[in-house]
Amino acid sequence: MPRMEKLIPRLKEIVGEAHLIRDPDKLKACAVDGKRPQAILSPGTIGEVSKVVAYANEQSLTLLPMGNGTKMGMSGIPKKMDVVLSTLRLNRMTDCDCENLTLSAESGIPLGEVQKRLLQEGKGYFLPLDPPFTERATLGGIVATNSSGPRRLLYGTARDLIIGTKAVFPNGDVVASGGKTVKNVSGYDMCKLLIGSYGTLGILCEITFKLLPLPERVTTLLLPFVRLEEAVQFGREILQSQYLPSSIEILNEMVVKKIKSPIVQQGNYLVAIGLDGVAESIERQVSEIGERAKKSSALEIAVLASETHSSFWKAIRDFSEGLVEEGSNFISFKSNFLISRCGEVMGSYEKIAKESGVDCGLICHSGNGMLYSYVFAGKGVRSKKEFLLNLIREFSSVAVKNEGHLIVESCPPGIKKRIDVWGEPRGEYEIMRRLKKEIDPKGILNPGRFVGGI
Amino acid sequence: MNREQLKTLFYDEVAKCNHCGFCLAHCPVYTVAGREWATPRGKNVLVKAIIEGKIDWTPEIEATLFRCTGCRLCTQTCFPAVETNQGVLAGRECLVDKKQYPKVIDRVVEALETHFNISNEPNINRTLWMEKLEDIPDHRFQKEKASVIYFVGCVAAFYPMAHKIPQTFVQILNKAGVDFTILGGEEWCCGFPLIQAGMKDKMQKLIEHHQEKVKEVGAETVVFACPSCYHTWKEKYQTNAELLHSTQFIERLIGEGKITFQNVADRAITYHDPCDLGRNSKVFDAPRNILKKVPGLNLVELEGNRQLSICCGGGGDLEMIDPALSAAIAQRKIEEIQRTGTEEVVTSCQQCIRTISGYARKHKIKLKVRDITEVVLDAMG
Amino acid sequence: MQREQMLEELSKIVGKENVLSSETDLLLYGYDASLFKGKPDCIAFPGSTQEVSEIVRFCHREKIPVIARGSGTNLSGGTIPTRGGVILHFSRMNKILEIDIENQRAVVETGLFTLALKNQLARHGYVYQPDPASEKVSTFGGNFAENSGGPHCLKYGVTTNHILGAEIVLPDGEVIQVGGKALDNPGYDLTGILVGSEGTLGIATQLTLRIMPKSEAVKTMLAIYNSLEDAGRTVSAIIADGIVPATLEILDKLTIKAVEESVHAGFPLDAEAVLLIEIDGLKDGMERLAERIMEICRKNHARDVKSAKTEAERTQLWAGRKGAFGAISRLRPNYLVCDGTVPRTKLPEVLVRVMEVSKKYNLTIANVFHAGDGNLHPLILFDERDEEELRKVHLAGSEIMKLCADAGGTISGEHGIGTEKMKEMFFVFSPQDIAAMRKVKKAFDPEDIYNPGKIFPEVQA
Repeated sequence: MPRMEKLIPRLKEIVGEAHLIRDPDKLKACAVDGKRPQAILSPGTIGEVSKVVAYANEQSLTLLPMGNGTKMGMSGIPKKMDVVLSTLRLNRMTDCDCENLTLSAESGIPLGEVQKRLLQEGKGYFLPLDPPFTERATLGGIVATNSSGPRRLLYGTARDLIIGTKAVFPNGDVVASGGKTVKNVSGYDMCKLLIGSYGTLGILCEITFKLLPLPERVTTLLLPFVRLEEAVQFGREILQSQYLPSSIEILNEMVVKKIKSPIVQQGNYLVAIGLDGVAESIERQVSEIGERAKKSSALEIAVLASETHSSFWKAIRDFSEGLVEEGSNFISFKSNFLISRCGEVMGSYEKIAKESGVDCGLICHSGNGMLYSYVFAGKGVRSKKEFLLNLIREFSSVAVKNEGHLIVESCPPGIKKRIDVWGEPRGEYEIMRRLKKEIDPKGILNPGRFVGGI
Repeated sequence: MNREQLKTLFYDEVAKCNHCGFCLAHCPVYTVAGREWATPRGKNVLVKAIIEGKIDWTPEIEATLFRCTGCRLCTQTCFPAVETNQGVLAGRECLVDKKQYPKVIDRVVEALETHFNISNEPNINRTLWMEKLEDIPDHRFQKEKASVIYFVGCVAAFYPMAHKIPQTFVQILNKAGVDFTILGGEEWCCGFPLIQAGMKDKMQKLIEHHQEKVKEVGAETVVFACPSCYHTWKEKYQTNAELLHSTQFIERLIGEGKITFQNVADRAITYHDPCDLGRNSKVFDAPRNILKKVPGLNLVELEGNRQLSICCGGGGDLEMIDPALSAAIAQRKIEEIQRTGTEEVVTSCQQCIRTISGYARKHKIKLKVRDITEVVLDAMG
Repeated sequence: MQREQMLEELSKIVGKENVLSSETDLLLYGYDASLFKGKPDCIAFPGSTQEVSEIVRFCHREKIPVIARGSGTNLSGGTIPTRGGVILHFSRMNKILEIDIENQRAVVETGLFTLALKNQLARHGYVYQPDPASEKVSTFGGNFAENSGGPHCLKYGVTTNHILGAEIVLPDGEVIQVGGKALDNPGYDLTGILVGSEGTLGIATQLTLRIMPKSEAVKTMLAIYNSLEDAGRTVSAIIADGIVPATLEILDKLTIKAVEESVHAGFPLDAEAVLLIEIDGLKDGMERLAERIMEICRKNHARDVKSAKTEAERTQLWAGRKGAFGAISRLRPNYLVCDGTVPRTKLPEVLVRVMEVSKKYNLTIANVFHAGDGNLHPLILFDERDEEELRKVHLAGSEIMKLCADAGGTISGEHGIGTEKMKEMFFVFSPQDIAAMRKVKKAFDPEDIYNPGKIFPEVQA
């Protein structure tokens, strides 16, 4: 790689020698879908990021932004990845203004650390995002992948919580959008463009969020059901009511087993209702929702105290992390669809998996029409490739039929090569390609990984 | 009126319009036309532009200014309360002076000048509605002296669809033992159509005639079943007689025990506030108090009631100038009535009845449209 | 292109009766609720997405500007045809296409009035949260283009948080669907970038909206102050105490006077400021929360605090707030609404500086604003017919934007940049920031067909 060698001195000059890594083991650890970078760069300031990106653009060097790398398996196979741009040194909380209920922080700081520090501010605050990889996911990674969790039902997602961003665009420009005000319609809402753009338009460097004071009380109701329809129907009933749950999750048996829920042991489907709010309202919701559950066919009604509450939700959020730790062979999917179709989609997926002879774990944000599914292919994935591809096609057509999409979040490279992880193309892709072309004409940011070949 | 006079009288008024556009939500003409020219805001802007010499009296301005029902819902809902209709009427006066107005108006003016009524019939025909009445007294309700004059109005006198109103009202007055008279062939048009046509200077003769009549009859009270006649008299006439709308008079008679109700109605109805009676003359309670007294009658209010009542489409000479637009507004009114779930609308204006029931009949919509006097007479038994 | 030919082409698409082009009509479509004026070439009234698409395709071919317009209530000159062109007035496309309770979505045509949908939703016990003050007449297309706010945005977010998908006619006439009823579609958040793009990127013909069950309970309180700053401090104190009400609205003395003259909301005429507070949610604990809020008000020198006892009392208080802008024009013929927004903790100090601007230019300024959002709405009063006064008004408006920007805020919270604040964009954005936005514009509309002459400053900084 002679060309790369020529560029190294300038890159070193920008970030400092210590922050340009070429150690083969470390490079290997950063491999994505079998592709390995030639260097890892860790700029320490937004100014340095700007210089790196400007230089990369000039030299047509492709960059793959990375925080703690929790979601590197998501999205398509990189067309090319010369350098990993690590955001980990951009780890400052730059403006923690709890009185104003806003926080500005750099993109490389893990959410877990942010939450810990907010907890200690005044009466206690939090950033109302609860995506997977609770501890390690960085703000930048969460926002770039528009990662969310069960509590989005009450608090929304990044698009609802972010009021400002500072990003380095492919030409090296530091582009600020929004700010510290909760309302802002000055110019285009560039924040929205960056959220969920998988680092293909700019390197997120600093993000400003809306904060909330900690709820007075939190609790969880666990309600097991025998039949999926019963579980779904109950979830729907709560959603259409005036109660204000923070989450309505439906888990299937496979998931319940894996998270080793210590409390509920029976039933095939578990409805988990998270409640945040003032003490009086929690009390009433626990008792009234419990009452309703009794009248429907819930097998039991368990109320989680605050400690078990936290560990339960963490286990749900970090479900795939747990699977990796236990060394499971799995393919994971994220599907979206109409809220009212949770039952159809979950039922169909289970049926398809059963017919294919594989186990399938389902975690559904039923109030949002989002489903995370995990297919356990067991050993010898290679030999099962064709039927797994078939299963993916079937899953996808179910999601599409219910006005949504199937996104493959993780799968072995052999399968990834044969599919578009983003699912069916949409009519709006052409304008997305035009956006990418205008903003990143040389295609230096994360090429090939996003929808429509972006 | 010319531009300079318009400026003196209305420049400050139209300058208060900030183009906020809130009137668009209410204006019945905009609701069906969907064009900016139809909006009160647009009308203010045009009057202002004329005053400032930024635009001449174009044919479109004529078309625009003659398409306003004069309902004044815009003023009611306008925070600075811009009197758009006043500007519109003044604009019409300017247009008339430039001989630029819908030619249909000439027919009415001619009728008024020859026969003193809008129908262009011999004025003696004003009492034809009596023919269907049984047991009428020999004086045929025309006495030389009386304490009350019932001013019938052109529409009720000449249009068969509205004959019911004088027919029932004289019976009510009779039963209640009121000493009243009508003016018969000596009743002329009140002048309302001339105000709307932008020719208010032509009405002086009519005003003087009626003022004289009141003196001759020695009446203490003049009663009108027509809100527009009532409003016109209140605004433009000078007389010592007390001016009352039929609903106010009936309410008084009920209070005095001269009207009592025997029959039970037992049905749900809704009530439409005529613009000239409600918003423009502020008579909201009298009709409601009467309806409340009718045994068994259940009043369901319209979404737009009292000050927020929406015009039927018949105001401001609109039915004469642009019948299609007027009908489209009537259609909205009927839809609003239907949303109350009742099958009968009661109002207290012959023009509203004509517009609403005219549309309903033409489009075969099942809807009872009745004047409040009919409801009262029915209940009196 | 010859004018006659243009009219003929458009007439072919929408019918002759749906094209206007007289001098009078051009005057009537040259204004909105701002102080700006322009003149279009003609006005067309499309009846379907197909017709919009055909008109746009034609205009794209002939390089004629296209400006979409609803009720024309824009306060920043966003619908002013500054470079001529065709105005698309959406009054014919005003239907509710679907209320889908099961999926908590509604689909509407963009010419629909906001309140018209809300009234229908109320029958189902549902709400569409954004509540711009002009909601009875503002169209969804306008809300979409401006990313409209409203008093309840403090808790529920602005329009962008409630629009989930749209049918968009692109500047070349192509029709695409962005977003949809389902959440988190893959790809860039085009809905997100289109909302608030002021008609410069795409014209929405249909919108998919988030609707939600109506809150179980609501409580509205009114705190009365002898000092505007105290009212401002109360707002910060409530937020800092960890309470996020649905709304926090302040009206100052001048506004109170105007409001009382027009709608009689029951605000005391001798007060320097009133603070309108509303909390909603479940009824449990609401009394306790209300008590805590009222205590904070008292601590911050409210001379009186009361809460609405009935729905009628609540409506009355809100009538005062909603009618504030209009009522101001009882004091002087015209007003300019500034829309600067600051971090809410900066409110008290910024308010003082706004009043200094008032003194400096000898202009009357009334204050009525979404305090919880830090969204100021200083209303500068004047008479448009006095040119010297008008000149001062523009200067003062710009100065207020500057001081908001300097306080860490921005120049527009909810009304948009439009024609009004283009040069002030540099108060908050660097040339790089603006260059990035221009790239977005170029990706959507390389020929600058849609609403040209808006948002972007004419000159580079």
